[in-house]
Amino acid sequence: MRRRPLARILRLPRSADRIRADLEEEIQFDIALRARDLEASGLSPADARARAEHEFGDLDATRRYCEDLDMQREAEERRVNLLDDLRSDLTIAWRGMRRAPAFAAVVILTLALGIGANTAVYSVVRRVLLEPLPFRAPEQLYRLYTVGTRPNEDTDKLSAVELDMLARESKTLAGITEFGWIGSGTYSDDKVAEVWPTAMVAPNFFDVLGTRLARGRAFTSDEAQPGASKVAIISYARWQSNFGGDAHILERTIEMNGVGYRIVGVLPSNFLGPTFTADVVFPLQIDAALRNPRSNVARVYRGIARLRPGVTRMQLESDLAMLHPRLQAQYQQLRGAGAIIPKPLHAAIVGEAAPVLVLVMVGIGIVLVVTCVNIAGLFLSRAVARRRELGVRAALGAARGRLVRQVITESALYSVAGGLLGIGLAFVLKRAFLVLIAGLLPAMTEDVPLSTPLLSMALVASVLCGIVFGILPALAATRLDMRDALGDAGTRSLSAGRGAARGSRILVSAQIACAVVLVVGAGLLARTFMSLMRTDLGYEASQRQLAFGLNPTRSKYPDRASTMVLARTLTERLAGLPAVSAVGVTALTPWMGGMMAVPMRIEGRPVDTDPPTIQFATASPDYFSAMGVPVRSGRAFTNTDETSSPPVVIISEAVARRFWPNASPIGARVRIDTDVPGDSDRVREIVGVVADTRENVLSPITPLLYVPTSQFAHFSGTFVIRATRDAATLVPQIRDILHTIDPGLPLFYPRTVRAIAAQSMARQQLAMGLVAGFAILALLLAALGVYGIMAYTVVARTREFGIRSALGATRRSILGLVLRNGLAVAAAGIGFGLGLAALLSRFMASLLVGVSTHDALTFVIAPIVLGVVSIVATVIPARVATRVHPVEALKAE
Amino acid sequence: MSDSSLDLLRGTVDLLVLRTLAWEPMHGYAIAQFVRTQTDGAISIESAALYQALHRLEKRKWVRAWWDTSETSRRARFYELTAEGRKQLRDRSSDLKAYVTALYRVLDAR
Repeated sequence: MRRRPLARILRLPRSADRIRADLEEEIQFDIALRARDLEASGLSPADARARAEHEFGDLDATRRYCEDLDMQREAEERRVNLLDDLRSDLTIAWRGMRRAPAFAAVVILTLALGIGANTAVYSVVRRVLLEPLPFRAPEQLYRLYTVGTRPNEDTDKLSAVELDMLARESKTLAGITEFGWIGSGTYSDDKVAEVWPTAMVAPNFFDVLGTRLARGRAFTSDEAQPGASKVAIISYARWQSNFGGDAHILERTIEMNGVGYRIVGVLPSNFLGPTFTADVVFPLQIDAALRNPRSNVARVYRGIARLRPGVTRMQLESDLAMLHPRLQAQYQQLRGAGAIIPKPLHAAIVGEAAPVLVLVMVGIGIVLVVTCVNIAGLFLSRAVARRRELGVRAALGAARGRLVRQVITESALYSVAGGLLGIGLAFVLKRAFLVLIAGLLPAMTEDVPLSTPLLSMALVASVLCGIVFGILPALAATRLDMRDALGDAGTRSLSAGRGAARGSRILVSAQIACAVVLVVGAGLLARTFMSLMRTDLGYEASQRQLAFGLNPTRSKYPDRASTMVLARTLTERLAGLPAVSAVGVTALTPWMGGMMAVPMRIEGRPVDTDPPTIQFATASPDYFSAMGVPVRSGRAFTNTDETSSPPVVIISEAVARRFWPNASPIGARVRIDTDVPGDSDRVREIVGVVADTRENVLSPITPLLYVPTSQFAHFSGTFVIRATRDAATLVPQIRDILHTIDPGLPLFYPRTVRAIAAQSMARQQLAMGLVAGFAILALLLAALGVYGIMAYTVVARTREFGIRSALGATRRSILGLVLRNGLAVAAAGIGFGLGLAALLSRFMASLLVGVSTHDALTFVIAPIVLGVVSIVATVIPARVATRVHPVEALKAE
Repeated sequence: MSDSSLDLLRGTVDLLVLRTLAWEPMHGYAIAQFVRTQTDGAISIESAALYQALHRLEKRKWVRAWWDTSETSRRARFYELTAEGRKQLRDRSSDLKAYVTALYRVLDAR
């Protein structure tokens, strides 16, 4: 009996032509047999053939009918086959994963990390750098700055007259608004006293920005006049937290610094203060300032301008340039002041953080490339190792397309697993990243959602990765001749797959190059950081010093006398603490930067119409010892420098150098106009010279004048305490003391001086930390890559080494052979990486201080680090290779 | 049974083919020969109808086919019953037998 052959299991798909041909053959076979039978009964061959065709019936109808059915059947089977194949591919892939769990874990984890980190960072970067600000037509908004003409000049503020003239005469602006006095105040109710960040904004502020308040209204211009009823707008967060989202919030008042303010509005929940954060805003009395001829030229207000629709930045710039000479002509005090320049509001807000974010993005990108290259390398060596397996399956009748599909299914399985895990990681990493950069961008990053398009993109990318990783090695592995894979040639060839080996070497070189770039970046930032650390601040910045603010409410401490009593009581009580060795008070700590510049005239010298202005600060007797600012000559203030005693002043070294280059300034008399009621134009004797200080490690030194706290009409104080142990531990005690003196006084921002100093380096520190992290990751990956490739090469060449040593090669010579091989790859990568780093490092220029972007030391050390890593990663497998006994090596496989 | 006469006819051809293949796998021409011999020439299936039936049955997965060398050493397409085909043959032959018996009762009624 006829049986169905077994080979039928492997069914190959049939084309339409093939189906038609088969059908025709079947029909012709029937006709031929019938004709043969008819011929046997005596018909001529031609007649028999004609008769058989006739007897067959409707040939064309049969052809059409059967063909149609066969086509349908074919399509159906293809569908079934595809599903069957997929199921068996997945089973094979799953088995492969279980067989090599370490490989699977490495691939899935690296993919997940790459996808997770990129999605997280890019979500944040997109929000900060790419998304429009939450204002109406934000591209029309500009912050106004000035060109600095003196070192350390504040360049982000304008005077009332300048803002007024711009508002009235500019042809390019649709509106201009001001804000200022960004600081903090004491909020108090019957339960708590808290420090709230505050700001003042002009009545048209929200209008110009195009922000709708969540509740209530903006300030009216009447409310911005002196003596108007006191009103405030609070933040959405405070409305929720301190007032529980009270629906009748607009009927309530809040107490700030002991003064009651009626709440007239609530900021929207997504409000973004343009370069400030505030829990409460007050009306800015710009009109009154404009009317005061003494103060209307002082550059103390921050301006925001909105362009008319269709106006370009160039037009605005030329408009501002035209107004500048007119202002200088009209107000002689503004002569010599820098011109006004606009900066897009977005750039003004993002400013500081942008280079760090870009750096992080580039860093992550490079790590991702290294990751991809690593995975591609892993897949490649695996595919080469599986030549035999694939060869066997090809010999058993598997089509090449089918094998490629199987390899792709496998890598797609890895990438989907990695992608899903990566999405989970993205949520975690995003939170971590936000915490890291919170110091740079407080307002914008409170809640950044992971963007869904990004997540889906990441998933698609991971699948594509899988296909690309899969298809190239699969094609390479299946291109081979079956005999080559199965037969002697496969095992006897000295290096399995020369093409694949070359591919691996290129991949490893690329990895090393990426690692070099990151190590150079980390090195440059580390060098910057070190140079910043070496910068002398002029004062000590230790953990044993604590600074905090005191802000006496005006209702309780209405005059100078009462605040001085408070300050003195607090000073005495603090000095009484056993761990405290000095307590100083100042109006201006070095890190506060330029707050108040005053004109100084030297007695006995020609009268200057335009006297130099110098930063002004107050200091209590113990301030210099508490801050650790050395007294260079003369004396510090003492308790005998009383309100009623002769007026004195201490100058910093920079002032002494500039005005008394060849003589001692001690004993000289200077006239200082502080423009504070009751304190103007006093002649003071210089009693001491102290060291120069700077605002932070990045800024130049600040020339300073110090007058005794007791001899200045206005008290505002920052306390600096020097302790014999970690001063941060004293905070509860200090808070207790303050509470016993006055329960309504909060402790303002107590921080150790070291923490304050460190903060000015936060940007560099963060950048360095991140890039160093990336560099270490890239180094590890590159080391793994080198190790993997070398180990694989050594195994593949075991037989060759066996032959070599049988022919008399020594261990050393084989070791040298392997090392030379590995180091050649490393050297190529290092060379390429250094070139790339030299090109890319200039993008980091804005983050580097005191270090060139082509810093020689960094560019020498980085290749050494990579070289050492490569040598270690090469030596380990090389030693293994030389330990193989020649006989074993020849027997292998 | 509510088939039209064409369906009835087709159904009958299908049934004859299935029954024939129940003996052993064979190619189309052999099936036709078998039916003719078995019925002493009373029933002769036209080739057109036979091949349409075979391809129809193959699509329904009641038979399956493969190419093999025939007794004439030419390549021929051989058919065999599937498990489903065998089941269909059983069901449909008892239906047809019942129908034919009923038909006889009417025709032979006295």
